[in-house]
Amino acid sequence: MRINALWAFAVVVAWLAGCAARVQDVRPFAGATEALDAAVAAAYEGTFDAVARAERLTAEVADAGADEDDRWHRLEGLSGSTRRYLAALRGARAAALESMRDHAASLVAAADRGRARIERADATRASLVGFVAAAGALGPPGAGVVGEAVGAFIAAAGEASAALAAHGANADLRRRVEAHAHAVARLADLLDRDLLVLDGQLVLLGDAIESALLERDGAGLAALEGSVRGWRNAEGAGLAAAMGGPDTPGRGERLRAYAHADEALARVSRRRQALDAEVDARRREIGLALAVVRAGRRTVTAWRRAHDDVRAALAQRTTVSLDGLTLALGELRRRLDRLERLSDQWRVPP
Amino acid sequence: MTECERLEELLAAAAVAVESESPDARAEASRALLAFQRRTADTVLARLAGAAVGALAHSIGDRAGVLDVLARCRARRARRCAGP
Repeated sequence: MRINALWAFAVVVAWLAGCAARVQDVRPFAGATEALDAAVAAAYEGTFDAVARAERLTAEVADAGADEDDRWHRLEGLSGSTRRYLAALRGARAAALESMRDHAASLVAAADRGRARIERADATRASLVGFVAAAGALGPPGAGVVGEAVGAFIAAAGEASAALAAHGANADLRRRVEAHAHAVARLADLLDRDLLVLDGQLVLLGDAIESALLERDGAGLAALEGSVRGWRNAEGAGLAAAMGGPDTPGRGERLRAYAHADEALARVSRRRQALDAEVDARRREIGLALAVVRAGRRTVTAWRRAHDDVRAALAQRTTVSLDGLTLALGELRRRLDRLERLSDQWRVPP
Repeated sequence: MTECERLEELLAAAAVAVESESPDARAEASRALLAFQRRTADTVLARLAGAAVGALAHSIGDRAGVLDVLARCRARRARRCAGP
């Protein structure tokens, strides 16, 4: 019975010593949580910027002329509602994101505590093995062999102790990860839905900005162009005759009118080109904000997967591959850099 | 179809899109109104289309307010198109 107990003990020690004394690395997940926070913040910032820009253009158009239905003032009121709605949505998620940062930090702290226990076990084992080896060398003949055997056992027991510490830390991590699994999945769904809302909002704001630009810089262009072209078409035959014909009364006036029409069309064309350039610039800006929102959605997916991967790795005692997460975060970083550079150029003054 | 009729059709579709709460339907209505605004030579109709596009961009915050703007645009369009 005693031998069986010792054998069982030895088997447990050997098994534990065979286990990798490694605590699951959760820092990349913690980093992903910080990146998620930044991604969500950037997505809202881009949308608020677009709302502000639409508001500013709306005000400029309002200054250009009153409207009997007072619609532009009504649009300003609607814009305020949009800002309040988005601010409320962002606020509602901020608390949840804060709790997720706490969760990630608690995982890192638990993993660090586990690693510290392993280091202590390693240090104890090293000192004991050293002590036994020294005692064996100083003792009677044969003591060295015994000391070697004892030292080997102490080394195995030390490794087992470290593995036990890792096992305990991983079990602690697993409990924490399991306890948060539902909340992570739920928050990922909510954030994804929010970002989809921001996506649709940015598309509509892009149209509103373009529409206000058309109103501000392009109002009447189509009508002017249509009327000048209509006049030229109506006068075409007579003008051609005047240009090629003899110097009859009124010929000079008709030619001057023709030249004025050409100038008017050229002005319309220049104004249209300037308008198109402005519209293109605004579209690019909205496009970048949209790219940030879409990269944010991929960051949400990668963050959720990172948590699932840590959960699976802890359950299966394997290591986590974070390649997908790293790619998503790299893409997000690039999008944010580009948006930041362009926002500096186009930022709406306060 | 006259421009007056076309705008009425677009404004009615925009109201339906706002009621539906479908982001795709709203985006489609907005794009169609914007294209109309860009193309039309009638400055009053262009302004009404622009007002509708501007309102649609805020349907997330105040749906009733947006529907009110659209209804006013439709009434204004009706007055404009009734003409002498």
